[in-house]
Amino acid sequence: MSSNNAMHRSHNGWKTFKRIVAFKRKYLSIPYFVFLILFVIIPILIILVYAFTKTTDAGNLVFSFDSLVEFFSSTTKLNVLVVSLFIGIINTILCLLIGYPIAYLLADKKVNKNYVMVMLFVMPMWINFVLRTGATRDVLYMMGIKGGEHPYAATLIGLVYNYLPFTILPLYTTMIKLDKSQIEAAKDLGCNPAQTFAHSILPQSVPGIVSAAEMVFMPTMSSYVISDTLSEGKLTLFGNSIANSFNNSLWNDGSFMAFVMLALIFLTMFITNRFHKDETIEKGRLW
Amino acid sequence: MKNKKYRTFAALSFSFLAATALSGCSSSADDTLVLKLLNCEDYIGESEFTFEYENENGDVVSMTYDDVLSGFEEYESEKLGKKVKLIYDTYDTNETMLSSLQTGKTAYDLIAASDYTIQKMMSMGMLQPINRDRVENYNTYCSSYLLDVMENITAPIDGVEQKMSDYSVGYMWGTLGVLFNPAKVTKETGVDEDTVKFDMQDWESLWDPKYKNQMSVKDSMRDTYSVGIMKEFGPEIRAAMEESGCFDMKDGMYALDPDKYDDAIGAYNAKLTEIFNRCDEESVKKVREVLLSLKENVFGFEVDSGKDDMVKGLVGMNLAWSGDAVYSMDRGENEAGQTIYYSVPKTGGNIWFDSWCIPKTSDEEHKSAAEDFLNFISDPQVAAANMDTIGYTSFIAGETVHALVRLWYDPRAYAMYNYHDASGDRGCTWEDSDFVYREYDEEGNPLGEDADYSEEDDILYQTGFDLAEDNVDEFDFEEGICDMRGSDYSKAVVDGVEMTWAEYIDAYNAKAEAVNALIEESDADLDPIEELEEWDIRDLTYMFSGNVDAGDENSDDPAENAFLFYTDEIETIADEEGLEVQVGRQFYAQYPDHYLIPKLAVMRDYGANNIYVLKMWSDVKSNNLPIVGVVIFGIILAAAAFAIIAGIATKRYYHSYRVARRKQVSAEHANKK
Repeated sequence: MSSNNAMHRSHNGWKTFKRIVAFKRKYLSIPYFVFLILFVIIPILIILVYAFTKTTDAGNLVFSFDSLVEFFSSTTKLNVLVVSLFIGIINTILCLLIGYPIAYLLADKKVNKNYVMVMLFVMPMWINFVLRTGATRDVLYMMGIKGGEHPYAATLIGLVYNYLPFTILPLYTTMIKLDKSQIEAAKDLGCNPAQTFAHSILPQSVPGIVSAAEMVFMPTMSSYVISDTLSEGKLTLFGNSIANSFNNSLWNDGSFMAFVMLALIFLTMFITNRFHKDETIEKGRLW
Repeated sequence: MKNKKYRTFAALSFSFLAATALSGCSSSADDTLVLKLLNCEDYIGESEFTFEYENENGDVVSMTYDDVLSGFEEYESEKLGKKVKLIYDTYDTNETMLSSLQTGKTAYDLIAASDYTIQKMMSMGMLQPINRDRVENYNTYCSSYLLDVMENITAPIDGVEQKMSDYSVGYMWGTLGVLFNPAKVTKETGVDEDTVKFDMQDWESLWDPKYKNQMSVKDSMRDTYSVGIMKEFGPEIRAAMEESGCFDMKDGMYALDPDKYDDAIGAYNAKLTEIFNRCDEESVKKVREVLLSLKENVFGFEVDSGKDDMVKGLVGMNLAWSGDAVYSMDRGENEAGQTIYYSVPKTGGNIWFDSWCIPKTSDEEHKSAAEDFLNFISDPQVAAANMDTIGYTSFIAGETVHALVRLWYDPRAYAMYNYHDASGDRGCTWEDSDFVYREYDEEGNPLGEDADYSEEDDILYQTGFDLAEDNVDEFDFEEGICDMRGSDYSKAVVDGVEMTWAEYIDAYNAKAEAVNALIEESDADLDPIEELEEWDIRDLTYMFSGNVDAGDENSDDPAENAFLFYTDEIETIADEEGLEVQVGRQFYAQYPDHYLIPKLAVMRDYGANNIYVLKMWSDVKSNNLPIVGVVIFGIILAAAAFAIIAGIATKRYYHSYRVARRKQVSAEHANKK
């Protein structure tokens, strides 16, 4: 100890130097923040600027609500929004209905001894989704579900296929942490399987359901390659509308739609966050 | 032009990397001029070609270039002594290109774009006039018809209407028509093939319920709008045709009346152009209704999948640009065994073209190099190389292109030059307008003049089948049955007997009959030889007049008039009333017959009306939620609302229950005490 102190004393200059350039853990986040500012914050600000301005004939940007009025007075755009919300909700529900039992089975150690099965289920994610969608189109065609004839069905099948891994993963991570003893207790105390599910398993897995829904709902609304390819261009989602506006140099309208999208994202985040909080308080569990 | 929405990001980022990397090294190089080009994807010659030019001493230099771009760099340094480095970027659609030009800081020296985009760029003041005197080849070899079309398009620059031909140099052109696979449509709908071929001569058929879900149209506003125009204003166009008196309206094709060809045709085309370019609010509203009903009847809107879907036989009909049509027909035939046809319906349609322009950002030195480039690609030899790769039709119509078209499509060329040895080690190559016989060694290298080559070997004939030797078993009839030595485009020489090409068909058929009899006798395992049908004549005076020697321009005989081509791809189909229509394939797609030319109109930039068309298009593309959807949506929302309310109610109930119970318990407690 004493020798240690002596060493410290003798290296006083070094210590001062170290204090000045001391490495703090928070410095690790600098690259992320630089990235965040450059590619998230600044683009969002640009979207906001374009969403609430217009270009005058002289070429100046002036503040205006034109895009807002244009959006809310256009039945076409509102229609697209409603259709996208519909597709988003249906896709979320379908993904949950299909993914939930799978995730439960995968989390059961008796069925799935190691992580391999999970990998098999999420493997499609590793292939480029444009390629995958092209292949889905051909498979659906072979099965007789032609996108041109059944645009909604074909699109939904493609969306469910694409977003299922995103549902299974968060559900799986929640499921492996299920409190087994509580489930057993419920069974012991006379719950039938349905009651066990309703009163023990389902409430415990709500956080997984919420984050799975979050992972599926918004990306579905903004996806446009899948709907374009599988519905043969007959189904326009919100993402298509935005892309179309930008392609035709309607930057203000496009930005406003992107802003609406952003607002929707914040809204869903707000709602789901409340869910998370409720769960944490009521069940006394950290997630 | 090709539409490749989904590949944009990859393409853009790669080209961006390439551009930065290349400009990085070349800026350090001494006197090399860096010329930046922007073109559509897959839109330039990428295969080896031979190029001949005269140097200062008047000697003809023959070069072999790897592709058009590197060819220009070599040519520029050899012929003009200038070092030029080309940076070649591509884009996917005109709209995204223009959009990125407006926002981006990248400046290009040469941009290839579609007619309406150039018009738009002109009126935006982005372009500078091209010094046409420096683009000599273009002035010499460009088809006068296309030059005329281009001169008629104007755009205001600083308040003065300027001709598009002064601001751009034409590159490729074509039509928009219907690509269809009768066998596939018949399989799906049960409509017989001849009826399909007949119906495809009419834009109305796209709305015909019997072809429901058969056709994919372009997910492209302008192209689909033009089809809407042809439907909505179809009756008006027909009336104008009748009024002009230039067309035989009782003919299934509304064919041109040759006597009146020159008189009223210009006036008719002007009227058609006016109708075709309607985009005021009222017209757009009408077309909107028409396109909404089209959406119900078509299979879908395709971005770039249409060509391949046709090849694979996934869809039976597709709205296609002529160059894509050629691609689909070639590949369908060679790879998938699909016989695909192309037609521009009888009331006509859209003629489009892509041309090169020089933006204002280019300085004097770069502009002059850009003009050198335009001169180079306007050389017929380069134009032929471009056409060979991309399948579209060049503006240029010199001898080389003429020879290429003959080689590709004229059955006379097939009769004369289609010969291969049974072992497959002989073939024919073409140089300029003439064909040279060459022998190849086992590795496939040409033996050339040093080896066993003599002028006598330079034979132009379909491999002769010697009837006298009776060697049926050893022979591959793919090679032909007539000795055609001595033939040329003006006369056929069949087994040493000179005759006209019309007579050749009879001679060939007689010989085929004899050979078929022999095959039958010998019971060899060979298919009988198909007899030839009579050839039709295609008049391409509009394209080649002025820069190719016709021989006798007024003659009706292709043997004397080089502007006339024989073709064997035309099929004539009659309906019950005896009206006859003709359907064509690749040749028709690349070079429409002259009767179609006056029925074609350019669709100009919509200008200020663009916003109406854009709105119309997003209306057409969007959809209302179907009734089932509304019901499901309602149920879900109701269920969610119920769940929330029920949740809150239960919580409240339990809460109040707990409170009451607690009070009760504490009361009991107090009582006990």
